Amino acid sequence: MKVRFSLLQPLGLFVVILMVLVLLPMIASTYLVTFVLTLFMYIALAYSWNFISGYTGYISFGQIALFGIGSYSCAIFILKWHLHWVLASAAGSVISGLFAIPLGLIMLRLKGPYFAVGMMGLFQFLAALAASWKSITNGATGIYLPPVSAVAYIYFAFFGLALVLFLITWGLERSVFGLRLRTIKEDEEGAESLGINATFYKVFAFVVSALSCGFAGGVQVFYVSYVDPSTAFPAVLNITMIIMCLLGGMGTLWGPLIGAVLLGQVSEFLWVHFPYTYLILYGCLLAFIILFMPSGIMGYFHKQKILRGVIQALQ
Amino acid sequence: MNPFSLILQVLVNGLLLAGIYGIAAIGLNLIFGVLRVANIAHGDFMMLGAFIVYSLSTHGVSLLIGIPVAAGVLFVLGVLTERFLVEKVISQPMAYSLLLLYAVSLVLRNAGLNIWTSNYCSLDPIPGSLHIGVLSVSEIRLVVFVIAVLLTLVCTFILNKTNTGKIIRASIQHPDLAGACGIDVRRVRALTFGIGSILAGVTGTFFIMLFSVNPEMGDMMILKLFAIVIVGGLGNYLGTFAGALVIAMAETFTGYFATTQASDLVVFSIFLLSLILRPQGILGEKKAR
Amino acid sequence: MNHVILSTNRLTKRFGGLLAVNQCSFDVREGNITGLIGPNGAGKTTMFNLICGNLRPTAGEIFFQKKKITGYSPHRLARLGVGRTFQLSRVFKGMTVWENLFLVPPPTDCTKRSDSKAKELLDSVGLGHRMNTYAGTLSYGQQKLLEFARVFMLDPRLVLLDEIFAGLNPEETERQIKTIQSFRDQTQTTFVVIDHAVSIVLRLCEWIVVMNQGEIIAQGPSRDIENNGRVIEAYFGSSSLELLMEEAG
Repeated sequence: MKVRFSLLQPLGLFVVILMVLVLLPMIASTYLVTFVLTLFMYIALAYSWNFISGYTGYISFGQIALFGIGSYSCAIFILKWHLHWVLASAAGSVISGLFAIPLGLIMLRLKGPYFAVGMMGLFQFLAALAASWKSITNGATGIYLPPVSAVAYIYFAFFGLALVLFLITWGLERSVFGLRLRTIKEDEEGAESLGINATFYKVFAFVVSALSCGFAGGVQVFYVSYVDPSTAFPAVLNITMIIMCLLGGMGTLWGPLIGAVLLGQVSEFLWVHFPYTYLILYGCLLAFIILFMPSGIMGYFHKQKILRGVIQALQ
Repeated sequence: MNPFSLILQVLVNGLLLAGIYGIAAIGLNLIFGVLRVANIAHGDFMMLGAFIVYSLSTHGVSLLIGIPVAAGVLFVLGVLTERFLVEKVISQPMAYSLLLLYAVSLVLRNAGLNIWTSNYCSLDPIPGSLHIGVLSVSEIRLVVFVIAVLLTLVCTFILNKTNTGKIIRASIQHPDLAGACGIDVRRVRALTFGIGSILAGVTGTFFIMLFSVNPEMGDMMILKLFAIVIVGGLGNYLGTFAGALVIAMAETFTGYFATTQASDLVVFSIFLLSLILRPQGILGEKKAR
Repeated sequence: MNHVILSTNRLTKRFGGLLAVNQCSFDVREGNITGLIGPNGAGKTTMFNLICGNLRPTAGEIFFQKKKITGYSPHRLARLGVGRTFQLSRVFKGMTVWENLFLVPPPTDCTKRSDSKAKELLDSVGLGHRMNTYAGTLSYGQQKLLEFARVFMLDPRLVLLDEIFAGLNPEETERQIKTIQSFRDQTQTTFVVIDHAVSIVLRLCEWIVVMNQGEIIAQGPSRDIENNGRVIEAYFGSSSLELLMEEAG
């Protein structure tokens, strides 16, 4: 997004915020650090959803399935192979990514609804599988991990993930690769007629999304020191990442960030106090966004930009 | 019971289940066909139908009243959903209607959880079974199956032979042209969604008569319904029945000889397989317009 | 005579009970502008979809530059040098004019840089000054021009134009005709043009293929097709044909 004030101002602001965030674990209370850490996780998940659904237009109702695969993989790597948790999370991420390749190749062949329902089904199915495959996952009892010592490390892990995803998105917005990726959402068939291999781009986006979800899942597991079907495949998180991305504006650079920050505060509070009603409210919010502001907050700004362009052209 | 009659029994159960799935799948197919919209909330509509009947019966209202009430409520819900939600995004990319119906599904499911909790509920089983040779078929399942077959035939008949059906089919193929001919396409869409919803709701009522359900049943159900529609093909109502047979049989057999999770796995695998083998799927072949 | 750049052999496409394209065989020669005409529903767009890989043929083969391309996917064909435009303009409305061209993957043996190529193409169709305009805000005629220019980012040897004149006013039509001719003259690109305006096709194309109800009923040089009885019958019905023959004496 090209903004018209001097380059120094936004860049400077950005650096300052970054510095504050880096120093936060040392200067702030544990409560605040925990809160921001969760926010980073939300941001990361919102960007993950953005990759696949925001840019290609293939709506996924179960990206959290990849999160869960990462979670369990990480837990098993920590427990059975005694890997360091960062490595284990990375390994969990890779496992997620590997799953995503055949999954994406199969489910992304057809129009949207199949992929959407397929991911929904995958999520349900994996949660049920985790509950019953006791030999590996210990069923509903879950797997216990050694408790975490310093929250700061988790904080930086999620911070790093969110930052990396932001930078990747930034790269996508500025590159030809990203341009081609976005044509799929607008007109897949038209893109193909110009030599763009839509399947490649779709699967690529899906795999990137899976890698980041998987990593987030791994870190989260280490953070709560515990994994069971409901913490690995939290339905709430599934929905939250969708709404956050949509609220901010799917398919944009800043959208997921804005959506995550705005909703993150609300989400934490509601999750604790109104477990079931809050999802109803989220459903209504989702409907509201689709009906009245489908391009989210950033979409509104983008439309203004186009409007300005039209006015200029007419002059 | 010797193995042969065991298998036969399971086969029959599968057949009867197929009947039930078939009705819901036809509703889904109908909505897909006329509105080109994937009703993600279809499974939750089924759930609503089931629980309406359940709630009424716990207050002593008989099924004979309960089922029509459920049908009525679902019809109204379907029409309202279409008129005030789906219609607004009908000309937008499909992603929007998907998200919107997902929102509906969310609200329904969680409202259900709020009202009825996550416990499994079922109606008191209706007694009476027929004994055909070595088979034991509960009467109610047979009734449901017959109704399902009848509904399939009626739908196929209405769509192909009557004027209403022709109007609906015209609206599917050429909405603009149909509009120009004086057909109120919006009304057709709302009505179709309503009818599809009734079919879902009625299926739900059958479900709770025969099995135990909880408000989260919509999740796996929608996957099964989608798998059925892929296997059967769009607009092909008899094909839908064939698809229902495949899914129901797979589910019943694995459910009987293995675990419930295994049957979920099998259904999911069929879903994936059908995506590989029948890439035409629902919306027809990929072609330029 | 030039080489044959595209040929179909008994190409057939069946949709359930409907035979949209029935055993069609024709050749297109390099550097020619070939017209594909026929009444509505004749199967012309289906033919394009088959050639460009959007649809799989039920039977028959397609050859491009002597290579069998039957069943190739659209993006593969585009990379091989087969471009097309669509009946309803398919520019990427959410992207600028410039981005629309720049994003096209360059052919593997391309030496020219994408950005200079894009600029040149835009200038040659008169859109050079609108590079940063969002394609969705262009007029319909301009969008069609953009779509046309964009195809040439592929350095195509063969370009299929589906109703490129539809929705254009006479001035825009004239301009489009001249643009096609000049592109052909400069780059020796082969064009196949579908249009329902027979007069334009007769004027623009050297060779014409006529379809009716899925079959090719005539093909040849445009002046031969003009007076071909079967063509007239296909378009206007047999009674008109009788009338014409009576008048001819």
